Amino acid sequence: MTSAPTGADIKAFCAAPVHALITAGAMVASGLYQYVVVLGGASQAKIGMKFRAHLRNGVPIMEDTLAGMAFVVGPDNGDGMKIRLDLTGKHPIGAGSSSQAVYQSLVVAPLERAGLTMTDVDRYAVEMHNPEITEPGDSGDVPKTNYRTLAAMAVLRGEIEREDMDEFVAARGMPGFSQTQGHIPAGVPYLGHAHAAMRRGELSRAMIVAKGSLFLGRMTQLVDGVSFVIEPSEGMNKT
Amino acid sequence: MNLEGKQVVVIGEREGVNGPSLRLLAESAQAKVVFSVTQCFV
Repeated sequence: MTSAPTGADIKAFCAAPVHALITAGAMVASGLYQYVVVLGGASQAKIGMKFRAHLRNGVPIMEDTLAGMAFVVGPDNGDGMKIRLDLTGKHPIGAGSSSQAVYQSLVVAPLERAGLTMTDVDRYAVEMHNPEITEPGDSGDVPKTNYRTLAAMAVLRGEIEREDMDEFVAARGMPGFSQTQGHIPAGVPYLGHAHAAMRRGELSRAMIVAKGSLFLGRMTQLVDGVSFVIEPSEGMNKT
Repeated sequence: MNLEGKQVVVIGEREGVNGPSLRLLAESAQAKVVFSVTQCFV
């Protein structure tokens, strides 16, 4: 590094980490910068957001964490995860905002472009809220809902049988484990685990998905979101 | 609950049942949706 770094915010609410990682990858791939650190923290304003539901259901206020995260994006050093910038998904204007339309854009479209199917992805990381926090908060099990939607889409596409939906969810999803407020959103909490799994030779392709919300910014009523695929570096150490 | 002829305000959940889905349900019950939004309450 020959000069001091600079920085900027990427504001995209719950989709921000994935937007930031795609942007960082594009900056490095273009040669603009050699290393980009993506870092972020929780929304302090959302601490205890569902306190009424938690107290009504007889549990403590569990949304009490200020989490942080940081990722270094840089040139392939043989031990990292490749961001497949040719396999990014987006939710374009006019695509429709049903769950199926969202996942068609974010998940299916980029895979189709590469001639891949939904079963060519070993693991999907969606919004990974811990259901132990969200269920007593009356918000259900968010990852499970999302994974079942993905499994249903795989059935509709003829890639799996209906009776294999549970197996799809178990094999290609995972239980939610992220703190909710203040949380690190989207699928990025999985990245460290993905790296470890790739080092063990247990994971060859994962998709990190974000569903965001322009409506949270009160800009429009539109949903936004992005996704990218990660794969092991060619010479990844397997220790 | 009979929604026929009623006016409905829809507040959907991004991680649950979203606004467009609730609109379809309400309109199938012959209600008139006067406002629809999808929030994220998770």
